[in-house]
Amino acid sequence: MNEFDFSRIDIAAEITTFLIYCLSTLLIYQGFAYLQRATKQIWLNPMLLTMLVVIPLLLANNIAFEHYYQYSKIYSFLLEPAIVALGFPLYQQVQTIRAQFNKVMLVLVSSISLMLAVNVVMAVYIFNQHDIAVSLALKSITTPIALALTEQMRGIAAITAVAIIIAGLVGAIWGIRILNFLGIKSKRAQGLAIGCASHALGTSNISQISYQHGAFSSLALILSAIITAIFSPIIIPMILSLMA
Amino acid sequence: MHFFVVLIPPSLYGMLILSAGLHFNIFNPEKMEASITWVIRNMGVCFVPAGVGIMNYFDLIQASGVQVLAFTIVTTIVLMILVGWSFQKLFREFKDE
Repeated sequence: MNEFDFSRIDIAAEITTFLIYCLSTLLIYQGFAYLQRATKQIWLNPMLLTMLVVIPLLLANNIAFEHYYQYSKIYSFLLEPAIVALGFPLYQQVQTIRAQFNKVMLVLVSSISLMLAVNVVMAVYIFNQHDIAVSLALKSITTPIALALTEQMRGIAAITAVAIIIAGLVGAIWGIRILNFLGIKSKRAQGLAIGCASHALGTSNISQISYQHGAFSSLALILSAIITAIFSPIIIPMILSLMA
Repeated sequence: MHFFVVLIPPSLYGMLILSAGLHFNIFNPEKMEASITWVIRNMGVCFVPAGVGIMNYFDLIQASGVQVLAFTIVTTIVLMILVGWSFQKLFREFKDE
């Protein structure tokens, strides 16, 4: 009887911890998401701000990340169905720009493969650590797929996640300005470039400019994730083994 | 050598199957549009726990945080310019209307 009672108490405590971690993460995130929608400021990124609140909270209460993650990793599991949901915008965009699909693929495959290789070589040269190189090479694509690939190639998930937000903010804040300055003014080229380098953050920002920006950007965001998923497990380990 | 064994994350197959199913009219897009829009709009919270893991890498941030930041910014801009420039140069016939 005693043992039975103990296990009941444990389960209650486990469920309470689970609910506290998950709900507080969700509440903080929703608060910042609301703030961003109200202010329309790109740099008030809810993911980044939530991390900046949750980390000091955990440190102040002496809670190890492992303990927090043990209860909140249900969110990471939810990324899998979230990836599947991206099939919907892919279907919509492939319909609208079917005529240029092959040429879009040609540009994306060659640019992404080249930059994957350049990223890995440079990152290994600068940081001399393979896990960081993997994380930084995968930073241009949408988070759920990048995290799945990071895990597969033994990168550091946290660095991938943060680098992805930085890459997204770069394209969302400066993307159009840089491309205009360099004379890359076609709406399709701008959409493609920002969707490829700055995934959903860049896409959501430039979709407000024109329909073509949005269509090419969302197509680039999903296609580059698929291309990276196919090519990075070949290119990255190959270069890492050559540089070892 | 496993160069020819391509390991795509399993959920990506799910995404391609969903997309193909919609394309070939097996699934009804009108029925799922609302729920999919909701999922995509709210999926940001799912990345928070993985990102909080950065708290285990404070030494790295102290030692080379600036380099990581600079590396990310520069390579992102280079990729963006490369894609935009090659698409515009190679396919000049795509003039915006």
